[in-house]
Amino acid sequence: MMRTRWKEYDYKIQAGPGMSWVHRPLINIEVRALEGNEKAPILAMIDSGTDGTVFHADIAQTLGIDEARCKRGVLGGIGSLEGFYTEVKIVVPDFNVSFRAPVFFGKKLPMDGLLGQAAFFPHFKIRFEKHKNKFYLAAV
Amino acid sequence: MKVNADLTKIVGKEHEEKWVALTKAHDRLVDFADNLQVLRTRLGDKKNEYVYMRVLRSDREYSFSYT
Repeated sequence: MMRTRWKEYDYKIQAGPGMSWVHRPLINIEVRALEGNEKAPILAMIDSGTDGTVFHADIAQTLGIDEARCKRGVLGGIGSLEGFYTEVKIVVPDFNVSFRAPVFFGKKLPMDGLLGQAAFFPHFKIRFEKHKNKFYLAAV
Repeated sequence: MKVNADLTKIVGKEHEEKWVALTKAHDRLVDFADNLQVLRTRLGDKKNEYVYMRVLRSDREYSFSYT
């Protein structure tokens, strides 16, 4: 049986309410349009509570994705988010893993990206060890 | 490469709800702007040498889970 080769990451520390620190599982990824050479390297958050993959609409703009040619939509959850769907290529440089994924570009997403269950999770084993503020990924 | 985990050392109140460009080691904030394309255009040929992040407000807790 092959042993899993985990890569260790620190949770990123960001400022939170009341002078608190918030620890979030952020990783470097690249978002690429299916056509053209543009890429956007971002720090996206692994979010097991999100169904799909959600990025800020500014990323679509910088990749030259024409919003008018994309299917419009609204994401639900806590609050709602207007935006549009299209397919992009996602690269995870730490593992040389890349895959095509349908994503939702939200116009008022407060952060750059959320990596949810449908597209990101099937490519990795993921361990969250919050008590140590570490998380681990292994490509599958 | 050692990667900085403590973003509070380089990201401040003035960067909230803006795009920031960080070095790949996340140890230095290079520039920031309201719009990602404006920021990347400003960085010119070096734009892909940095990693970009949209900074959350620090006065809120967030629950994303767009399901």
